[in-house]
Amino acid sequence: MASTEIMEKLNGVFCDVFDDDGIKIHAAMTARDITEWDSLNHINLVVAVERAFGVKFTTKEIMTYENVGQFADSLERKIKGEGS
Amino acid sequence: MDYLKLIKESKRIIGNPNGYPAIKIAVLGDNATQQLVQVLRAYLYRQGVFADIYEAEFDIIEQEIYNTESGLYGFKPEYVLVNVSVQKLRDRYYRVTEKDLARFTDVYRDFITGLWRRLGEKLHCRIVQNLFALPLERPLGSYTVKVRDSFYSLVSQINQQIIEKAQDNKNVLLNDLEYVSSLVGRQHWFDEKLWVHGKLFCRPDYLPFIAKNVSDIILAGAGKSRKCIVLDLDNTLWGGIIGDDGMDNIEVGNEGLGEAYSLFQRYLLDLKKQGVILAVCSKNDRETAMEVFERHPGMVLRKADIAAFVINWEPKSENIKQIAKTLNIGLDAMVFVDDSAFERNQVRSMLPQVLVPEMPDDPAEFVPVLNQLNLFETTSISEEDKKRSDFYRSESQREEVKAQFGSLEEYLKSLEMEAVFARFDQAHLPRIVQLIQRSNQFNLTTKRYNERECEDFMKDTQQCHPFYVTLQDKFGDSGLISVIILKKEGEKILVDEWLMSCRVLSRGVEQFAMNKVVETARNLNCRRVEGRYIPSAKNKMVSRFYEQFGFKEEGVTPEGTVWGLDVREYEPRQVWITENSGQKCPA
Repeated sequence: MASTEIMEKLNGVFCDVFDDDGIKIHAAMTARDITEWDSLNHINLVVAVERAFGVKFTTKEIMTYENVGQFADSLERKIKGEGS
Repeated sequence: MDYLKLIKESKRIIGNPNGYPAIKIAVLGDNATQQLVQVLRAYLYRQGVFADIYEAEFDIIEQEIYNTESGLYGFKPEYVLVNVSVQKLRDRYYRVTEKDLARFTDVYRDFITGLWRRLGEKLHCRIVQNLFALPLERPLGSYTVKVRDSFYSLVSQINQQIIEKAQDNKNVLLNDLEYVSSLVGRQHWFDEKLWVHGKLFCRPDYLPFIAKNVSDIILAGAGKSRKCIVLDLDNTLWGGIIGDDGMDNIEVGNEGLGEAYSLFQRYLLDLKKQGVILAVCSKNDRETAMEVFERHPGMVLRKADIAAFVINWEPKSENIKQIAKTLNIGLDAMVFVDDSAFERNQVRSMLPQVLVPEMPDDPAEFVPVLNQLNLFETTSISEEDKKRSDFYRSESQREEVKAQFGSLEEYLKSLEMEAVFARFDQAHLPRIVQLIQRSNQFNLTTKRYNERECEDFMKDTQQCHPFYVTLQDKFGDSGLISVIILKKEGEKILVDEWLMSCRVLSRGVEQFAMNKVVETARNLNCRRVEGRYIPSAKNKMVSRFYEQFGFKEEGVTPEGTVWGLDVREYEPRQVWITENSGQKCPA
């Protein structure tokens, strides 16, 4: 489970990308839970998260994330493992 | 991140809430263009333009262009943005057989020019064609460029071929993505996972750069370019204060910090050569400051390069208004460059139409900063542009002469003006189109005809009588300064368009031209001349233009206010312009 700090920052990015300050992300959340989360916004999300955290996702990662939890966990591994 | 901001903004401009003028743009790509379309729409909206965009389906450029039943032709765009990706080109390269490799560049060039030709035949539009970002791959390192058929070399050659073909085709404007991608850095520009996953040809963060590039081109096409750069002197054109430091101590030339100022002046001189007008606005003693232009060995710019000098202690906003008046150009065509934040803010607050860039402290950064703003994008450069500063300089001399004469009449006589009133011809077409695109104030109907439409008028000798007017006098050649398009409708001559460059106002050109218009009507056995006035944001000065010639106001129609004249009642107006035959006047 990713740290609160990361989840909070990630929440900010979600709000920005989906243009909705009311979004509260949680580990089990999926694209189905946010109406605006289509394939275009998925790319916007990837790009925004990469920029906000100074990381890079792999092709496989962006194609296979199933929920916010997986997204946040891999983000945390990247931050710890690779630095930023 | 500006990208996301633009994406959000684009979602809020459905239906043009601010009622901005609309421009119809079709976007055709061999890649995912949805993000580009959103960003472009939002970016143009920030510039006060509503982009009505037709976005073709993914990767069907040829179907859209070669099938006349396609949505593209139904849409009738004013601009077609062709956006081809280096990634798709790479697919072609990897698939090509050994024997076809030698023809790879030619085949691709023919593919692109074939699209242009077809669009040119079927639509009255401008084409905005991208150049390729050079690929990151260079399998043999630096040696790759020496291998003629390496992908890198081929992309480079194709770009060159597209450039050469576009140089010969005025309807094609180039969206130089080779420049933009290297500006941001290609290692950041490309993101292969986004290509693999979503067919994005670059990281979307950089789409705002492309949007600016395309928007600048489209705005220039709509006649919204800046024409004049007004320059401060102390610590802007040279280092130091001439009034305090004196001629020997200011910094300009080849030594030390002076070189940075010289480089800035060289950039300005180059702008002048491309048709941008240079003017000076400085708080100084006039004589002391002028002496620098006349005598300082390190100066690149000389007196003759500057169209107008306003050097006094008045507020700069007032002086800039004075310059605009002297040069007869709008404040919205001006850029003001000053190292002083005080002066910049004074001008910004008093004259919001003038563009005032933030200037860096370091003079070596002046050129990069101004260059990145891309203030002088254009869609063509005519010979007249290159001579434009000279026109304005003689205009300033005329102003001085004017002061010595008692009456306007005496003054006009002394100018020894000669004019040509002639039917459109091929040689003058570029300048005609440019004037049509740029004239705002003295423009009765503001119809922005493009080159092809003008050519059609030129060829239609039955119904169309399109004329241009050139003017010269003893001070110099003003070139082609007016366009009048007449259409014969039965026994009536309709003035479809009448426009004139404001720099020849109050010299009797309108009177001269109206005499010719009525003469033309008589020669065509037409008894009635009908003029129209269509109001725009800027042409109020000609709202009652026809009245002075005895036209009667006949009512307001959707095509504007109608003014009618019975040619039998027209008395030719007195003018001090001698008519010249078409051949003598240079293009």
